[in-house]
Amino acid sequence: MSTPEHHDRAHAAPGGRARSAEEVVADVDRRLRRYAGRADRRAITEDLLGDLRAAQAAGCDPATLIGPDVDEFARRTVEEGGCAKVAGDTRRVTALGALWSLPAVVLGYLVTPYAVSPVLEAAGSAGIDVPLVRAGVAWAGLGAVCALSVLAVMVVLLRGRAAARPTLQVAAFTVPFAAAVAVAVNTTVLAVGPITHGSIAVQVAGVVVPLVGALALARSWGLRRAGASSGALLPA
Amino acid sequence: MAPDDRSDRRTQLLRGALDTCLLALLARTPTHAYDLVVQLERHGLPGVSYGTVYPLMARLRRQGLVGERIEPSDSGPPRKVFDLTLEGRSALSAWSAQWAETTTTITQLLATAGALPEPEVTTRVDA
Repeated sequence: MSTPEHHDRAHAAPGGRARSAEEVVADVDRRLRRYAGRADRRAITEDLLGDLRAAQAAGCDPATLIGPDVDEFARRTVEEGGCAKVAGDTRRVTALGALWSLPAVVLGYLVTPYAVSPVLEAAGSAGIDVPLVRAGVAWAGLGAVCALSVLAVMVVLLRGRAAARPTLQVAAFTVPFAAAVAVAVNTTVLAVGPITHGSIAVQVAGVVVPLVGALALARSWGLRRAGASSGALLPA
Repeated sequence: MAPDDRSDRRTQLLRGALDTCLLALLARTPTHAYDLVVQLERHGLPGVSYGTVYPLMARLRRQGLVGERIEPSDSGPPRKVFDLTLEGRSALSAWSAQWAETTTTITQLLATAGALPEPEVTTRVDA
């Protein structure tokens, strides 16, 4: 919380004169661009301008009222008012999540054989050495390792972001579902025919498309849930 | 404790109670955002700026606890005046009770642990 006395030189207009309500609101509007869409920005600045003009007429300095940290004021107004850039954030988190997840998925491919082979050996020593079971355990292990890796990536990526917890809660359902779809697509492609460039492309798409869908759904749904429960898109 | 530490601590304590204070002030007199800052100062909370109150009012409006109307002003352009909605009155009642219960519990804990004088002693000294 800043105090009214915190007015500093950064808030004075060139020449040292106090800035008008219009100048202060223009500054706030510039900062708002990072956080809010055009319609919300207009609503906030119109509202703020009326307030600051009235305060100015009553002898208060508009810049002092906003405080020294205009960016923080803009960010908090947007967050508390529940008008953060949801769509932009969904795209950003989905893109980053998918990008970061791909190495995690590759790692899953590399790690799974080591993790699964003891299970298969145990199954073999118990007399369960059916090829179908062997393949099922391998694919399930692969799907599970990849899903857990993607969720771990999301935990890191969402740290400190708005609605992190609701997003992860939804991702806990959508990411394993995407892994199941990816496994189904890959096993089908391998069962159907020979490995060609086309079949490999389908296999890759079978992983990437469900993954992106799962992340986008988790983020947008998580943001919506956060907005519905608390309204504020503060880190949760 | 350094003055900055005291201020930070006070800010943290206020953070959870400021919305209740704003609702309480608006329940008594509908008014505009800057006047709320002045009233908070009059009630012994001088460190709360307009830059803190305005975003908080945005939340209370979004939650439907506070309504607004435009009123003419003697000293300048028309001002946006906030008042409490029915939901706001209900929230104020619940939040005030919760605040009283919480502070009573903490005060009792501190007194029992010897960090504060016993409430009875305080009453006798005041009397």
